[in-house]
Amino acid sequence: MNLHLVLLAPIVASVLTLFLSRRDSASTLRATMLLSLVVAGISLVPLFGGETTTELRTWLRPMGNLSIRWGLASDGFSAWLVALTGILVPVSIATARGQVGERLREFAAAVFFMQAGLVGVFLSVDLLQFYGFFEVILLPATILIAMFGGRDRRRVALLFLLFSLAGSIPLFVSIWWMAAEAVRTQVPLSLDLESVRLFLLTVDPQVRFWLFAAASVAFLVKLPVVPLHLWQADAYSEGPAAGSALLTGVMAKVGLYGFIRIVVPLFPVESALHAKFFVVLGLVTMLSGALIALRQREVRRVLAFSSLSHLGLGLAALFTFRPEALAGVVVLVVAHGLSASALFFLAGIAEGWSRSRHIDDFGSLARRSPLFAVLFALFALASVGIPGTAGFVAEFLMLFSLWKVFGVWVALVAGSTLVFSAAYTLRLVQKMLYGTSHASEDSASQMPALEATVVIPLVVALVAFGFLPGPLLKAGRADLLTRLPSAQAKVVEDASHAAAR
Amino acid sequence: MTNLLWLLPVLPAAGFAINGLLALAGSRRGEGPDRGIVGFLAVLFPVLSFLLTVALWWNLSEATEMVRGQSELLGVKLQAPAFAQTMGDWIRVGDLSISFGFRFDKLTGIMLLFVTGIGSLIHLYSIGYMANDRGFARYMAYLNLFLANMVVLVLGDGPVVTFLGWEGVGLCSYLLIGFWHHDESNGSAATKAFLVNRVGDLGFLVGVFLLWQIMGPGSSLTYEAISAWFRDPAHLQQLAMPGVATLLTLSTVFLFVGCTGKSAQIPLLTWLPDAMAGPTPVSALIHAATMVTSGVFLLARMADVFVAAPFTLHLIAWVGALTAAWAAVTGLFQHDIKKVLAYSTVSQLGFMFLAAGVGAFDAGLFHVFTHAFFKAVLFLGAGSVIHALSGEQDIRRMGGLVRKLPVTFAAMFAGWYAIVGLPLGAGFWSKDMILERVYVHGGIGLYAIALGSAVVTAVYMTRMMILVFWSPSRVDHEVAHHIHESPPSMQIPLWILGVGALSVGFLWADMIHLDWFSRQLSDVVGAAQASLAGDAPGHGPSPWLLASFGVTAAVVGILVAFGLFRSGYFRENGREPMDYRARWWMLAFDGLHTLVGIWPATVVSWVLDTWIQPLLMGLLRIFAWLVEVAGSTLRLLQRSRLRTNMALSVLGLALLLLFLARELL
Amino acid sequence: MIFLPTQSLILAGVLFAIGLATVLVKRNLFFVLMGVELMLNAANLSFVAWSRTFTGSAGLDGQVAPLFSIAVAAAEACVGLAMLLAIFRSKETLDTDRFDRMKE
Repeated sequence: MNLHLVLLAPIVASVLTLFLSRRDSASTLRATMLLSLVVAGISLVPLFGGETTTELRTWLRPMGNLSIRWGLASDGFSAWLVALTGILVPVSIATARGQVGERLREFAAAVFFMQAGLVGVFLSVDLLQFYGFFEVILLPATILIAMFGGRDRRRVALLFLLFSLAGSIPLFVSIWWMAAEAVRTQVPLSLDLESVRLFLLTVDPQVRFWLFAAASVAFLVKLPVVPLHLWQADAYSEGPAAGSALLTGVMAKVGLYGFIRIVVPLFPVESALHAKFFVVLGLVTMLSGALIALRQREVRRVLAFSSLSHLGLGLAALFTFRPEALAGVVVLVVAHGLSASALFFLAGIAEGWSRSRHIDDFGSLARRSPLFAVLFALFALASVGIPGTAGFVAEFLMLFSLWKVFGVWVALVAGSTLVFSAAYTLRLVQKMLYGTSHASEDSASQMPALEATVVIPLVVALVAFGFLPGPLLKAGRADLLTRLPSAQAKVVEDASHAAAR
Repeated sequence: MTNLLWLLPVLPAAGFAINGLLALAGSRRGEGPDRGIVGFLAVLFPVLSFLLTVALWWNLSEATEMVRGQSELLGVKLQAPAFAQTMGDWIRVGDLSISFGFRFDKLTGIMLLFVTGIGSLIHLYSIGYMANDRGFARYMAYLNLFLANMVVLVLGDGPVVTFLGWEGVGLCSYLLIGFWHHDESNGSAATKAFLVNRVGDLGFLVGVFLLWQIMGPGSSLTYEAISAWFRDPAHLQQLAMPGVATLLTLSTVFLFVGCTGKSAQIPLLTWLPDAMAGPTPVSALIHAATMVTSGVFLLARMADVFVAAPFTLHLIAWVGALTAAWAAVTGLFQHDIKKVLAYSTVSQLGFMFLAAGVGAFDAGLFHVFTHAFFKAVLFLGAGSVIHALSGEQDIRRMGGLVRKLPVTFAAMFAGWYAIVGLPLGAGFWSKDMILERVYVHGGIGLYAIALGSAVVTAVYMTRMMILVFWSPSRVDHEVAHHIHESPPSMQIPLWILGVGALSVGFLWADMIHLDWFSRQLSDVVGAAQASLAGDAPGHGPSPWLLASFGVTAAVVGILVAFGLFRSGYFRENGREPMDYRARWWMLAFDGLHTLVGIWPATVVSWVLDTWIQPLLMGLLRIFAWLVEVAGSTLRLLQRSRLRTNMALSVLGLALLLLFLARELL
Repeated sequence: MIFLPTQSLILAGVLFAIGLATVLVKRNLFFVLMGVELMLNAANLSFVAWSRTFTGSAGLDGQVAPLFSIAVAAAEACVGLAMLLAIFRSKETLDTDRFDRMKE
């Protein structure tokens, strides 16, 4: 199956959504749900295709010896990310009902657009193509925050946009520099990842370090890591919960993906040299996120710092370069993607009931809506990493690799996440689900059937992967960091360009 | 038969699933789902598990006998049989190859017999105890889930599979302690339990990693492989090398930390007394009979590893002894009947660890076994008392209940008789076995502490019995009217366990040469113990002499208790002696945790949130301010007055022309 | 020797300066427009002055360009005066210092 279909599907869905009726919200909901399920189905196909690559077509030839290619490639890891995105979109649209009201159409269009961008990121083969999609994601994400957010949304949307742009500009400059260098030295260069990797081997190591740093910054802002995380808590908290769920569930993973697909394969020497720096950075992020989360008074801020913490550990583990770590990161990406976003979805529903984001304004949700409480508790436990959920497999593998490479004390520091994550998560659970109700008795606080139906498969998946993580472990194969999926792609020279030469 | 092992955890898990769904489905209705169905299912699955365990045990015993016969015939030591079943791969990547494996040998069998057996009884008891609770189905679901996890813990064929159950029971403990969740303090207790356990779990994991390192990469991490590795003389050479020895000590210490978390020993014991916030059957099952004994179980399971690390064993022995002593003293100050029993549990667990620490793993396990019976009966009896007194838990407001609650009294009497170690009770056999071994292998210091703890045990247990039963009634009048004996569903387990408390001791009554229990365990822990016993004096004093010390200790304690609490001292004051200073003693370890863990975390958290975050945001704002300043400055060029604008434009044009002219000429 | 139309250029320069000064100093919109006209004519004068220096088509350019310029200036003056009328009708004043709607 042509991967372009996977990319086109959400784009088409986005456009179609704009033609839906604005007034009839029921039919809009049905239509968007249908579209999202179809797109989700298409997104799942790459999982079964093994490694596939479309042809690399030469897209642009700005200068004689510089060519920018276009191609899509999927291997195990990308396929899972694409599938994750696909699965989360229907849930997002379904749970957004309470938050966006009449504007579901616009919301869905923005979400589909973001999905397209994300799919593009995960399947891109060319560096500039990747960058394009990477930046494109920012547009719908900002729209989501600015259009559907809370009171402070303008400021937060701007903060998010400017921060992310500032972070990715160094990457763009690096690409530009490489192109300029190629033109200057008359070396033929095409910007697909494999060629860039080979080109970088010829670059002066001093310069290459700066390129490495520039590329890393973009993804460090995306993850994010401390101290580049300032945009995150506000953005996740101020935007619509269903949108923030996608931000934490998939967009943040682009950060990890960027390291795995671009930074480490293109800069193997620098990555190995500076691995310790990234491990320390990751662990500091993990600890900071956990400790700050303990003090937060808004539900989604707790969850935001929780994400910070979990992904920080992922970054640290990644830079051990062990096969167990890679597998662990893959499992983390899927497990955290499912559990963190589900918690956001549910938080959004709860916030709709109590009209407040403050953790003290909930209370006794277990009594008022048992189904909600069960689901929330299950996802919370999954994020804490109870054995039997995929989160445990991820944490176990990551801890193991950190111990293997760096010894007992690092493992203990990293392992403290076991205790801290339990601390802030259980605090959240206690405040939201248990205790006595501080909110007014609201009879409208029953978990709606549609939202429950779309959320339940997520928890089933989490438990299933907890016991049978095999497919995920296979996706994290050992040469993930060294062999690029486009390495063996067939390059198609455009006839007109070939003639012009 | 061996391919039915998977049913053992799956049966109660099925109970969890079904009861859970029933609970959810019935959550809308006023009364919840039908108690009859739920109760029946909730008891059915554990009972099925128990029956299967019995069947497996039977088969295993036969197989063992056969092998023993063959051994004798061939004159060769054949390996003891065990049932094993692997359900498939769990985590397989890189150097790791972990499968879902189960192993049923004698040790597993014994543990499972009382876990599923007493578990079933407590499920039955719960039907009566929780009958009026709105969350009946949810409770039963959680209890079933707990049993499933406990089975996995015991049945796992390697530390990682055990860990699955290990954390699982921790989770169920959390769910059940905080069961009455409308009261936030229950939630706090539950969270505390979970977090303290988690600290231990981290130690467990790191200990396992280090063990892996010792055994070499790529080794399969099953108990079988571990035991085989550590029994291999060639490896013992390896272990003698200083680097490896340190590694082993570190590994075993971390594993022990895990045990202290789960079994509430120093320093991770603060959660257990708070755990009494949960329903009493939960306290009986989880916090007395089964979950808390997981630590001792783990030590026995990995006995071969621990005997190779003498430092750790010393540590374990001393920690056990000190915990036993500390908890016993603390138990004296408690007014809540469940708290008395909680500290008693901690103290008895200390005895079990003490036994393990001096290499008497089988004695420790025997005490686990007998303790399960008498502690469970004490808890269930306490539950019966609380139930009868409409929820009263303060022993200062009890008294005179002998005639009013005869069955409960009889059961608790049996439990009391056993725990203080009066002759021929279960505790007499197991505790004295431990004391004997401590005397022989552990030295006089440990023995003195242990014996002292035994005395104090007798004191506080007798105090409890006196205040609850043998003293004039101080029961509130309103409550007194409603005193009634428990329903049959609660009484049956009391009867069974009470009889057990008095009789199971005879499974290993060493002095009259009944040693069925120790023979069962010889295959598992025998080798480990033998390797230790080498350096012990050949002959200790006569067991009867030591036993008499034990009985004397008990009697002394009883007399002291009667003296202090029956007569005048107490009646005059109306309130107890040694009241307020107790708080410092009791909360010593909470204070330690606060100092070492909670305060640093709170401080760092506060610094990060109040200072660093705003600082970073401030940096960002400075940057934004700079941009704004630049913008404002440039904006000065944009004047509102037309004339000024034009003048500036002309000026700019003139400069440009000047510049160009200079370039061109 | 090349002919340099010095006096004409000086005159053009002076006219330009006067025009510029008028534009910048005068507040009345009328005078601003007049100043602009003056500057345009100064430029035309300079064009014509230089046409004497160049021969051939370049020289003729110097005389043709002002013709265009005058035409355009006239059109511009019309538009400018029309706008001035409109401004006066809406603002009752022609004082440019009072036209400050475009500030921050």
